[in-house]
Amino acid sequence: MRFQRRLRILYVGFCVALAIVWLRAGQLQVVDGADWEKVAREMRQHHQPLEARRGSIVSADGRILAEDAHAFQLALIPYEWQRRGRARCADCGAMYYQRGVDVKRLYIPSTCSCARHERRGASGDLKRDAYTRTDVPQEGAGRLERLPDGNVRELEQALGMEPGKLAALAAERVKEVDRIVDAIERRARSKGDTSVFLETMLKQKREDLLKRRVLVSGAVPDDVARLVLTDEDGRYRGLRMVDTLRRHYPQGDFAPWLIGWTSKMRDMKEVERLRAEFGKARITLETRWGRRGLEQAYNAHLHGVPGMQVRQLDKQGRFTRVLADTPPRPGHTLHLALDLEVSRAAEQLLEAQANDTSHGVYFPGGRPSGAFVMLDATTGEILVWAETPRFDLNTGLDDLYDTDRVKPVRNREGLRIWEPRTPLEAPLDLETWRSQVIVPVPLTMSRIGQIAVEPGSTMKPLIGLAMLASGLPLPMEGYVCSGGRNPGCHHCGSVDLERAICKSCNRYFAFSLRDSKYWGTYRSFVGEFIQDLGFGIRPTSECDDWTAGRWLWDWYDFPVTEAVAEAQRILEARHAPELDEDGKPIAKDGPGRRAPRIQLTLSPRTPESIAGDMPRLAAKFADLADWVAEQAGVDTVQVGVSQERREGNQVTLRFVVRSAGRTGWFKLPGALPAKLPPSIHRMKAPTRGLEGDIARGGHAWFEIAFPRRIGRSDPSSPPVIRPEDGRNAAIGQGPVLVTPLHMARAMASLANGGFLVEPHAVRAVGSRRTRFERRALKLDPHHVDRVRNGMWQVVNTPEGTADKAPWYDVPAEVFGKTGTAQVGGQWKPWATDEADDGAPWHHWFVGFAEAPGRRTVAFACVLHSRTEAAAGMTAGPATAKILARWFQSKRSEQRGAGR
Amino acid sequence: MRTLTLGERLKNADWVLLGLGVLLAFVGVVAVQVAESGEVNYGAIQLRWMILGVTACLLMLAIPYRFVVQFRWLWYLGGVLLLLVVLVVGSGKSAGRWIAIGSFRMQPSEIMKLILVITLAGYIRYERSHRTFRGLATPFLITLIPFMLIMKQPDLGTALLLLPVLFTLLYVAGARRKHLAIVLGAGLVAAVTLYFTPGLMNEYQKNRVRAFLLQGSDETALLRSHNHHIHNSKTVVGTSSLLGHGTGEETKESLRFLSERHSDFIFPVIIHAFGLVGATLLFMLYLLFIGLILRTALKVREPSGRLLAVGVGCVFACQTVINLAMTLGLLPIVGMPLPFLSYGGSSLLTSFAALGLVLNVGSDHPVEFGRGDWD
Repeated sequence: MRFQRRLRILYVGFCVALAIVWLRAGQLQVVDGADWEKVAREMRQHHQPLEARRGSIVSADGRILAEDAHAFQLALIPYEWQRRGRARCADCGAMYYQRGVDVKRLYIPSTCSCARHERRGASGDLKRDAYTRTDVPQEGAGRLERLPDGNVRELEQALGMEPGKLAALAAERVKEVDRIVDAIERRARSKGDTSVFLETMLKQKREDLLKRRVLVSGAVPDDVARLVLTDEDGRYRGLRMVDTLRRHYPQGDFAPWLIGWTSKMRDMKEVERLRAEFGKARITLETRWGRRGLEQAYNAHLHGVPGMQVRQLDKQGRFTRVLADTPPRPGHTLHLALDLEVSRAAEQLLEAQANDTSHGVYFPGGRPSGAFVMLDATTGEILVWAETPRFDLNTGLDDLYDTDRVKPVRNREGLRIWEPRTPLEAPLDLETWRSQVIVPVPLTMSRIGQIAVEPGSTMKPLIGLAMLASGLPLPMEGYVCSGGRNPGCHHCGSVDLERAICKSCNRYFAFSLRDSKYWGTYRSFVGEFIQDLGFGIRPTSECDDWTAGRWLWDWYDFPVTEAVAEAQRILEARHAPELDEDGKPIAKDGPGRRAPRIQLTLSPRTPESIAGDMPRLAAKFADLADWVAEQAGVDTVQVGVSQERREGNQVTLRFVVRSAGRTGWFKLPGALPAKLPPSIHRMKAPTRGLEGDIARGGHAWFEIAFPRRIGRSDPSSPPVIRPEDGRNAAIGQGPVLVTPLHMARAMASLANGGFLVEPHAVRAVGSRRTRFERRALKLDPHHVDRVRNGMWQVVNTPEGTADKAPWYDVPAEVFGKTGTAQVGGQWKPWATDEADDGAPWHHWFVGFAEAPGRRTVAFACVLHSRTEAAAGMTAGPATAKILARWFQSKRSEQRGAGR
Repeated sequence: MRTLTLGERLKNADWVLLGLGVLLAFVGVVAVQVAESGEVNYGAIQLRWMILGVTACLLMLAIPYRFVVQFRWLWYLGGVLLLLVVLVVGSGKSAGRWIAIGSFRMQPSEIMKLILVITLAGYIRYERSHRTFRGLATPFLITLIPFMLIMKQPDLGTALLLLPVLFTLLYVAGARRKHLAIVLGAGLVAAVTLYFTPGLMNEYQKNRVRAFLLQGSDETALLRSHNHHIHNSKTVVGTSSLLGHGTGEETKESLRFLSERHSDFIFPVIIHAFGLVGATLLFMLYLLFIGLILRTALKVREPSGRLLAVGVGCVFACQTVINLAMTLGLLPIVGMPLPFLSYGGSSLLTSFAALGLVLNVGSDHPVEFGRGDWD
């Protein structure tokens, strides 16, 4: 029975505990109910998110490259702005301002309420109000007169705005809100909604939209901010000063693509997606998220954890006290290996070199264009990063999201730039944007990591190494080069591998990989070896932004129809209607332009499939169709494709645009050259044949040459590499595209004795060092020595292609290779004018430098030009000067050496 | 001894008890729906968990509980391993209490409560040493291992729940009151020492205790933040009416400032929506529910079955009282869900599994098995 008794005791205990709880609930509700009601009535809680400071980015020499800085933003609330006003008493001069949150109850009285006027009128007489039984001033005494708004004008002046700008902004927003509300109403009516609540709902919606902040200025000086913040009389009613954190880049235009930029969340969908990945607490709609470069790659580390403050407000919405406070946790600092001082000097040297026309190098519009990158050959740390031209990261990128939010326009100088599809809010207006952002490429492209071009002869040492590593005898060893064409070469004389590298003999390398008895073995071995050196794959896992470039395997076949279908998809996405907050399309004032439809006709002579870069061709088609549709005002663009001619391994396709509505040739607009190879820009008026008929009928046409492929291939199966491709690849032409980052990485492998390093800019996150992979390539030291010897001769012997550069200033042993790529790249990094008909030339100088007690560095330099010139006269000297500057720097010393 | 067939087991099961459990869970779904913040449909998720829970309950009913008890050390080892795993890979808002496998998240400490009941029931049933002072060491060791691991997560609420379970099982199994009182006294001293020893308790846990002791005052911002939960909860309870404000939008709006309203603070939501009358009915449901569980214990003569029922009843009773007292400002805030009502898959699933175990015990009427009673 003891068990039963003990069990009963326990149950009674439970009953008693529950009874206590019940009594407590009763006490709270019945006894203290009135008090809690009062508390609840008085308690208005406001949850104020506290923004976490994003981590800074710091260079190796301790200079801040990116940081979060406090800034005051001026915002306008149109709803309150509409209800602003002030008045003055004509008698005593007392001023009255409209104030408070609830405008229905708080308004400017009709008479002065000062002590004198409240009790007596101006004449001193009292008048008894029959209804309220109180004394009121006599009629007409102390009457207030409305005054024009002088305070706002002063504020506009202080902020350097045009007079009336704020009122114009408010009016613009009101108009926009009316348009949205009208669209919602039209949609509701069209669905047959005749509900009596519709009017109320629309009114509420309008009010809600008008109560939202409109950003006026993103960087308000503190003294001006104080004016608005200390306003207690309603002088600045409708304006709010918001203390916020803004991303600031103290170095302005330094390495913008590497450092990257941030912007706010696009929509709730993005917020939800990121919350699933990083946790709900860390992501809000106001979160600023890295969009490019390191800002994007290290989002998880840079972004802190926002805090939250629960504030108690009184009935009037005024802050009374803090109820709960969770402070924000700042993000980690990124410590880069990058030397800012040398990088800055490198930028200047690059610009100076590019501007130097003494060697016949001409850059369009005198605008220097090029890039230089230097790695620590042992660790892969990026030490120097220089690109030109650049843009200032502080020029309003906070409001830019991605390329999908920008559109191509031309700036004052007629160069193509990109600007947001929606008007920039603050701190930059469009005019400033156009005058400052002069980069004639999309903002998202870096010349070091993203613009891949043909490497030219800089591939030769690597191809030589691959041939040596294959273990087969070198087929062209001892070849006597007497110059010639296809491939073009100088009179190099008798060459072995070292001399071929030194003299950059095209024929030695091209013939080594041509269709010969060796090709069968070489093609796959060399192909795979070069891929092992990091070509055709993304050079680092640090940034997702950097391009993989292209190596033989990416050169694949596709039918023209596939490119046209892709182009149609691009157009549909481009012309998708704008959506409102609910994700519904906003009706435009007039009929918006719809995506043009591409109608394709193929002639029987068109090959079933061609080889090349399908996404890029699709982009070209889309741009072309868009432009033609706009110019000709048609909805359907008819494109006919016929095969023009076959020449060697090339097939030239002719694209006829039947909707252009004009005879003869036409030049595509400035927006297109960046996407179309120059050979197709100009459309000449044909005089005979089928095209002549077409031209006479009012059609325009253009041509694109493709490597020939006959027959349809399966895209899923790996492409077959043909001898022509191999031959072109051996001299860095044809289907090979690389970035300077690829080249510097490969050079680091030669310098460090056969380890493939991962280029990375970040040395440590907070106090933790970053770790990147370092893979052994298992190279034979004798093979490496032969290639190094050849590269040494390039720089240090009179026969070398780079001996003219001032290497005597560089206190190190330099190994290098020049390269000049003569064919049009996938990208042409400048806008062209009518005279610009040539393909871009890429002048390369790549290599490595080593000196006792100094860090061994690998580097790659590329300069873009429109005219032919030896890279040894352009990129070589630029590199020599930058290396000299680097070896003057203390950071060039090997860590631990000399201590 | 003959093992009952599934049909016999189902026939003998206490369906009223299961019905009460389902009713409580259904009230929970409604309350969670009221408490919904709009971003996630917690109500629908809870309903899914409820269906899964009932399935788990029936599954537990199908397996003879003696098999479950027989493999107690296996469960115990598995539970401890899971608690160790959670220390390594645990995820959670403020504490790492969950193991995430894809989108599925599991809270091992919830499962450990049931495992401890099974382990202790099996151990005490086969031993008699707990009647001596020294004999208490093993049951305490069995409890302290998961206790320490759960504390480490940190999950003070669940960890502290293990101790009443141990004491209750020892008490009903016949341990001497004097011994238990000595251990309890020592435990209290240890708890105070624990509180004041730096590094043993997390700062936020100490703050909760401080906030409870300093209710009404606002000394520091951090304390305010913990007082703020109690304050908001009391405001919600205090502003309710006798019959409540219903489940409409207005109620949802007035509950917006109450954090964790769909999980630990579900009771204020219920009392706000259904009033004191609704709360009283809920209390009566719980009284009946616990009463029926204890009746099952009385009905069965097999000792481990008895202890299982008492242990499960104790877990439910303690959780209920602690959660309710916490939301009304009678106890400091600890992470403790209200059984069957609070939102949470692991909690609901474990609760139904535990209920299934009790139903299993109740449906099994063994002929005399081993020793009859402790009397």
